[in-house]
Amino acid sequence: MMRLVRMLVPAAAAAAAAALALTFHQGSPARVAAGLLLVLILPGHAALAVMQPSRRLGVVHVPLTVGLSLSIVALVGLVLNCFESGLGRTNWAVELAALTVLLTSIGVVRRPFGPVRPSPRRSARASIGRWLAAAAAVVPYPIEALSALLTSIGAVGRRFGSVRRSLGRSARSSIGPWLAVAAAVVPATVLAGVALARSADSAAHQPRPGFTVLGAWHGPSNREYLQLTSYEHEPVSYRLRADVDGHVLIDRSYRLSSGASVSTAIRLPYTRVAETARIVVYRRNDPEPYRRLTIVFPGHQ
Amino acid sequence: MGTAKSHLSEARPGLSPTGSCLSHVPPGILSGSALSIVVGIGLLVVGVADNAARHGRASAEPLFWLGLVTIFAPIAAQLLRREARRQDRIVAVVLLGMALYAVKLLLSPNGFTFGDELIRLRTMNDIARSLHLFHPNPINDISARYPGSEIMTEALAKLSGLSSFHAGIVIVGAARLVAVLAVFLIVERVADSARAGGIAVLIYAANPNFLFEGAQFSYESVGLPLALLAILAVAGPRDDAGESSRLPLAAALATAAAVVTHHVASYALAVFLVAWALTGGLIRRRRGEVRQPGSVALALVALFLAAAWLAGVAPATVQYLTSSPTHGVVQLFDWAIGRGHARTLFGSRAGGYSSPPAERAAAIAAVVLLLLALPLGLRAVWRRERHNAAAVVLTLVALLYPVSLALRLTPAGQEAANRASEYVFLALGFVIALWVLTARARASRSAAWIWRFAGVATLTLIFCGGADVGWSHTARLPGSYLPGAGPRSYDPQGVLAARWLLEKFGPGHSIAADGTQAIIMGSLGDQRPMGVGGGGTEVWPLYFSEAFGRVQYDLLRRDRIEFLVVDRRLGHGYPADGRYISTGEPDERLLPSELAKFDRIPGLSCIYDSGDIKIYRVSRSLMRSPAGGRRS
Repeated sequence: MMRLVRMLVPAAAAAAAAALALTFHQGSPARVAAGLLLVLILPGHAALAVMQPSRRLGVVHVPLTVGLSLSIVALVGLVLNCFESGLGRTNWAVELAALTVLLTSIGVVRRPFGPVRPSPRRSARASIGRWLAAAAAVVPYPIEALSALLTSIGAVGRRFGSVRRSLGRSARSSIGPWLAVAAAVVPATVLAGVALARSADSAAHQPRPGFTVLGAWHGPSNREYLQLTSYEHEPVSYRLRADVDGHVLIDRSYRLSSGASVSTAIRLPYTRVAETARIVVYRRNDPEPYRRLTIVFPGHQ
Repeated sequence: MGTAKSHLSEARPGLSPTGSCLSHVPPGILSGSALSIVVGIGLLVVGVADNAARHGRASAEPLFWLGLVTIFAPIAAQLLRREARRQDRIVAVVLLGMALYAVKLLLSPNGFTFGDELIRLRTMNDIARSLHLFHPNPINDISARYPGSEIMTEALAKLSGLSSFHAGIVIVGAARLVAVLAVFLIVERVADSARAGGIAVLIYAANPNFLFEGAQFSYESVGLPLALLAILAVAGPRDDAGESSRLPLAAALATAAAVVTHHVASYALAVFLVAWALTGGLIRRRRGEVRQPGSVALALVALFLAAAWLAGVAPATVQYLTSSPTHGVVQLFDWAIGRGHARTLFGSRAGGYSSPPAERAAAIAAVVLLLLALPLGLRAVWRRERHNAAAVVLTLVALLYPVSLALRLTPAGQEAANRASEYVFLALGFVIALWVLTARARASRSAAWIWRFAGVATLTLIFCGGADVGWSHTARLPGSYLPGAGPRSYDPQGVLAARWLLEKFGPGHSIAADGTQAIIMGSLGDQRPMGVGGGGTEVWPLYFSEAFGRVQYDLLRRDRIEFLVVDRRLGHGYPADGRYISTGEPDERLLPSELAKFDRIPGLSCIYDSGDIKIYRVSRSLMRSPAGGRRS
């Protein structure tokens, strides 16, 4: 009975994950976890239960589960593409959860017919000891630090130290392969996380030369819209000037801080002989044009 | 490969014990956690190198290599150890694959900055917008015909609420995990040695594409791991009890997904499975053994699926895939008879970018070492595994390595050789691992540490040489803008220009731009860049001329180009990747005066100026006028 319940866990997890993915808002950790489960783990796990209902695959389970999940998701995507509603969130959640439930059910049906390898019976006390040992192995460093601290302050520390040593012995003798793998991967993961966080921050604040953007586009009522945006590192004064054959359409000064933008509209004189308008931006008191646009009149477009 | 315990799983004298999880744990300096900490420190060093490069410090380059060696060398030492348990080897293999994946993430931690990634992003954006597949991708239409990786990413993004970028790196990370474990388990199964599996992963990680190209959000980064998974399922992975049996349904699922995801991976898989089935049949017939049911069927399924997808969904793939190797072979022949020129190795063009001498030496040394090890490995295969069909086929694939090196000598063949490396190195890893097993078996115990040190040094050199060959010196680290230098060319100015054009003029306009801006405009700007893969003729004549005459006007009219994008920084130097705009362009430098000419062309409105990037709008009158080139 317990085995049956355990086997149905993926189906329940799939249903719960689908519900979470459909209920929670973007950015919610629960939704992220649900999405990861539904896309990377549950379909492949359920498929493996169908293919190898009675086999303990050990570490082979990892690439097979993840790889099969990705394969199933790709193929389900092709199927969803055939429907008008397409690859929407609800469709994904329902399809993947339903498929996982279906595969789990087939696995449960197939299980009794396959050869079952008996697992050794363990007492409750041994199980608790195993979990404690596993915990000690996964988080050895905080325990180490805590132990050192307590050891230095006297008898309490000595007592805790003995507990730690006994846990360490227990861990070395009984830790399972999965937890050993986790214990070995955790430090690199933490350090990689630190490196990535620092790198992301550094990339976001990478020193780059400042620049300013001047753009123009046609708008309604035969107007030409101009936009000046500063991406310089400090507030800068600009002078925006537009003219047609010396006839000034606009001549204004602005002071823009980094990221600030100003928009304005000019009406081009269609009746004039000239074909183009020149829009020039000067930076600070520099007499040389800093940005320059040349607009062919709409009549000539 | 048989079911249950095959003949391969029997222990052999001279080979290291495969070791189960229950085997004795010898005391060693590099336990799992210690190794993990050292690898983490290596990543921190690479992160420091990246940060230094962003600030333009000269220390970045040596720090980067120091970080890579800190990651690779301890893992190599662990995997070469004869006494290491299988579980320790698996941990080391996972650490290697994921740590080197993190090196790529450290280069671009905040978004997609590789050209291929932006191409894929366009397909993903199209899927997210329309909820359907197979929208034409104007930057590279073939990629839209193989949407497997985009489907997975889209599913994860939709369900988890993660951004496309974060969902993409999770999917590629998961695929990387599958790939390294699959390589380990395949070679472990074929060579009957966990140590061989570990060594094969080390060689596989030394392939030029492993560090950056194979870690980017691209269809091959996902398709190849799926193909490897299919091979693993056919081989019959070994479980904790040391038993193995095939998983035909898993193989079929992974094959189908690989077919949907990547062309070359699916074809390579189909060919490999067919060759495996045929070789297995021949060997069994000669030895009078019973035929293995199902192997031929799986091979035929793979062949049928790949052919059906090619014919039904992506027929243009044939031309897309054959042009580069065909031209490569022609150029190689021309060069051999003295009619053509070889490609400039370790550099772009005469007077342009070139690798530092130390990196050239490492790259050449890596190639020489692999070429020396290959015949030794072949001898080991002949002696020990010539009756093993999978081993024979892997050996045949490994023999393609010298061929791929020859193709690298030609401009057109280089891309084909680069693509082939990930496939060839899997087989090369197996062959060399088998030689290492036999060579080390003869070494005395006293000399073991010398052998191990030499082995670690050699493998590290091969790895560093491979990393140097695979990714341009200028694109390996972040920094200020450089033309044609991968992630360094995708800077905020280009991104802002693409977003501005989309915001003010809407999507779907045909534009002419250089290679980098075309991808940014097509991906983030949702426009139709011409002449880069999606359609239209090549646009380089617009740029490679100081005059703007009939040829240029005709080109504008023929492709109905509405906007011209000009990045004036292209005039500052040669592109690191060897081309400014597209492959057909002249082999000469683009001059600033050629880029400045557009300001003088009547009928072109300059509507955007950010200092370096200018956007010109082509007037409708210019498009109508048959004598457009009136002033030139």
